[in-house]
Order: sequence, then C-alpha cells, then structure tokens
Amino acid sequence: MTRAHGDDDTELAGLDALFEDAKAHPTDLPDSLFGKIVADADAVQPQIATNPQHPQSFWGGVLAALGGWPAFGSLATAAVAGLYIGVSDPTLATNPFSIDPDVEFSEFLSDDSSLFDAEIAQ
Amino acid sequence: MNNTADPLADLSDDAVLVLYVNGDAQAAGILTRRLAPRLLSYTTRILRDRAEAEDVVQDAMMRLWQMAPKWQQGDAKLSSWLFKVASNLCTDRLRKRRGVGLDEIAEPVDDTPGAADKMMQAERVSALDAALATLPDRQRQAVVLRHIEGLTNPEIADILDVSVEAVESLTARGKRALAASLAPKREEIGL
Repeated sequence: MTRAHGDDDTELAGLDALFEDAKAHPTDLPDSLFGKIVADADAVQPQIATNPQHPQSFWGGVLAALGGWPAFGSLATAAVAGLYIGVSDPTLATNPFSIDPDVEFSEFLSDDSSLFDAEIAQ
Repeated sequence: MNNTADPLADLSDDAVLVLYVNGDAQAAGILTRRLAPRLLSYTTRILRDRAEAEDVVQDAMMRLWQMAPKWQQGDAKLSSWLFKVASNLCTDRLRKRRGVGLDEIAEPVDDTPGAADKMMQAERVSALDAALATLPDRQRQAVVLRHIEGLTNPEIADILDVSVEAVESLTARGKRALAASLAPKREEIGL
C-alpha cells in the first residue's frame, strides 16, 4: 500500500521533536575524560611557551635586523637613488642643467642676430 | 568536578584559547567544559562505541592544544574546527572497522536504567540513537551535525569535505531513512 504524503510529513515533523529531545539530553563529560584532556593541555602548555609556533623566517629575520618595514623602505629608496647616480652621466652631478659640456650657451640662441645686424646696415 | 560554572563566560572560545597560549592555568579546563561534551555526544553517536568516542574526543582536544598558537582568530569557529577533526578521526576508525562484519559492530550501549524507569523523553532519545545507528556513516554524520548539534549546512560541508548540495541530500535522505526506521515504534515513542 502506498503511504500518503501526509504520513511522511507527520513522521518528519515527529523527527524534529526527537531531535529537540536529543539536544535536551547532552552527554555528560565523565570526570576521568575531563582529567585526561586537561592533563594533556597542561603537558603541551609549557612547550608552547618555550617553542613559539611562529618561528621567524630567514627574510623575516633580515627585515627585523634592518629595523622593520619603514627602515626597509628608506633603504630601498637610497639603493635606487644610488643606482641611478651610478649609471647616469657624472657631469649631471656638477652641472645638472647642461646637456653637453662642449655646447656653448650661445649655440642655443637663434641666429636672428644676423637679421638684426642687416637692419642696422640699412 | 567538571560541571562548575564558566568563570570566563563573557569571553569567546577564541579568546580563551589565547589565554591558554599565554599560560593561563584555567583556560584549558574552561575550553574542555565548553567544547568536549558536544564532541562526545557527536562521536558517541557516530562511532556507537563509548570508549572509542572518548578516545577520539581526547585526541581531538590534544590537537587543539597543539594547534593553539597557530589559531587565526575569526577564520573559523573553534567548535567547527573540532567537529572537523573529530569527524576525520571517526571516519578513520570507521574505515578500519570495514574489515569487521556489520553484525560484529556493537550496537549503541544503552547504559541507562530499564525502559520502565525511564522518562518518555529519554526513551525517545534512545530510539532515535538506535535509528541513527542504522544509517550509513556519512548520512549519520550529516544528520547529527545538522539536527542535533545545530551546525549550518555550509559548516557541515566544510567538516565533511563535500558540497552544500551534498549535505542537503545526505540530511534529506537520512531523515527519510530515520522516519522509516522509527515507523514501527511510532506509538511507543509518541511520534
């Protein structure tokens, strides 16, 4: 005989009531087990204190030796600046506005002065 | 006794674990009182062997103490993490039993007084536990975690390493199988 849907629903609703009963009957933790668990914890606790679980990595150690991220940032900036100074034209250090030391300033001027001279001649 | 009130009731499990890492002498006992009873209920229902269930709880809690310094607060619930560890330990033990015939696996130990002396509620819980014992392992784990331990489907999916849809399927099939198993006792247990 096929069972009606209603029967299933009733049974499933009854199950929910059973689950609630089970929740209301939690298992008591035996004192013996409680004692074993706490004894384990007490045995592990001193090891945590003496052996930190976050050992510093090699790069972590290097970073710490440099003084942390702020110091590392300054060092990186100085290193980049030093590299630039090293590879760039040394004359820039004495005359940063000059492009070529052999070029005279007058060469940058237009040759309009010749026109000026011509006008005077007239 | 382990039923004393929780002196750190205002603190989360995570916070008490930090106290443990920092050397607090009370923290382990407090966490054990908070977390171990639910674990024991769960492992007893899954393994159907009280001695094995207690071993698994002790083992899971040991892993908690060892993992404590690495615990990232806020990543997950400590209780969910413990259920996951306990589930894996239970699964290992259940797999080892596979060589043993199903008939040789002990039925849940009913160490409560006779039925005549029990309250109806306790009888109903016993009947439920007996019916749970007939479910396949994964269904039993999913049903107990969802409907007795009150975990969410995503939490159970993480614990059992399956999809949320698989959890929904496991719990639905489990409930129908439970209903069928309990049907002959409907009158007796007042379903």
